[in-house]
Amino acid sequence: MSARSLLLTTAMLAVTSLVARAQVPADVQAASRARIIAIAKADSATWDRLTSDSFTVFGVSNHVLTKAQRLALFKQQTPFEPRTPSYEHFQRTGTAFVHRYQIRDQMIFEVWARERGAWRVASIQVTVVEPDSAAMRHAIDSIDTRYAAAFKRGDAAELAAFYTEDAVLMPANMPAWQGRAAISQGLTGFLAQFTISDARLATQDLIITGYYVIERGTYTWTMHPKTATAGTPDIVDNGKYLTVWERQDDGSWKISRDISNSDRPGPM
Amino acid sequence: MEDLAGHQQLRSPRPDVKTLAIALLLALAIPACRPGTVADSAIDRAAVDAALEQYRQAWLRGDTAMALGLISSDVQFLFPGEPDMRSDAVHALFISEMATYRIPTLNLKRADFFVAGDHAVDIGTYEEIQVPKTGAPIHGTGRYMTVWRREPGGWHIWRFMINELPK
Repeated sequence: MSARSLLLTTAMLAVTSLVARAQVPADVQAASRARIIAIAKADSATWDRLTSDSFTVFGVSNHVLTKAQRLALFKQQTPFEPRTPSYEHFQRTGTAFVHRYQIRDQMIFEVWARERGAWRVASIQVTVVEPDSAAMRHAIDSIDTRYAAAFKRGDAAELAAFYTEDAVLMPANMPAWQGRAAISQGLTGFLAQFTISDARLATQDLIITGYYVIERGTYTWTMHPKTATAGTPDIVDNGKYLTVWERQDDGSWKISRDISNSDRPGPM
Repeated sequence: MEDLAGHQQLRSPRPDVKTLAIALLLALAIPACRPGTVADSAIDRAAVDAALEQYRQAWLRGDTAMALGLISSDVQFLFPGEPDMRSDAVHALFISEMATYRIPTLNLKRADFFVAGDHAVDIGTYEEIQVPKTGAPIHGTGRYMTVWRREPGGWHIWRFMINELPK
């Protein structure tokens, strides 16, 4: 493509974009935003007002929910902070608008139409955006490597930062550590007793489910009691783990649930 | 963030009958639920609960076929003291255990449950009594994490890990 035609194309795209944006009535955008907030706040009255009587939502497995059924489920909903949509796009189709956007791992397609003098959502399709599996594997491997390095350094604070605020770590022969603060405290206590000379984690398989990743892996570590007398041999252990990773709002991944056991007989 | 995201905020560890009926009728799948702040879908939870109870009853009754019917074809059991146990070893274990022991007690106490797409994570503690044909009963307790997988024909156990509770 020549520089001239590239410039022309760029100029045309810019004009098209401006026209597309200008063609989206402000009241459609405002209604869309109000409806997203209504869902977050469990505000069924606003949601009802902005939703067509013939509304249907198609879930990830093409299961269908009507307006009445959705409203019935609204009653159980706990309010949460509204999240900002990304990759947002409006497109006019005849007298209606398609509003496409993504929140977390969900891609949402809404059809807005005029009904009784107001804009209302007539239909919605929700699909799950799965992360790329190779990229996901690389990300988890990278975190595992940093995790092992922090273990060898005896850095309990850094290790605790790999976990979500409400994570649960279930070490063998110990009570579960519930929450990042308890995990930090538990790891601090453990690392005060042992020097870790080697720690390795190896992912065996990953299940990627959009918002979660379930990792099965194996570990090997070598530790030495800090109070041991000279000549005390290292403790070498190897075993396996199941870890549930949870995607954070910033796109990073943290450990939500973590359980492991040793391959070696007897308590480790 | 329409309705599935809205559903993610539902707290329904014990949904009312009406809601459960709607959910069962619609079989609305929820792709991902946040543990702690978000409950699972009622339909998936109910289905996993039913499968789990079938599995528990299979062990209590010594019904090997039923127990084997509730595990995935590529199941892996992750027990302490040994490497991963793959499908053929798990099958052999079930047959051997049920031939060797009667299990009058198998109690599960769930601590955590959430659905993640076509998988469900179930965490809790167990108490089991195994009675051999000769010799004293064996009393076992521990912690478990089970990953269930949605497969044709229902939910099946896909990964099962246990570890020891403090003495």
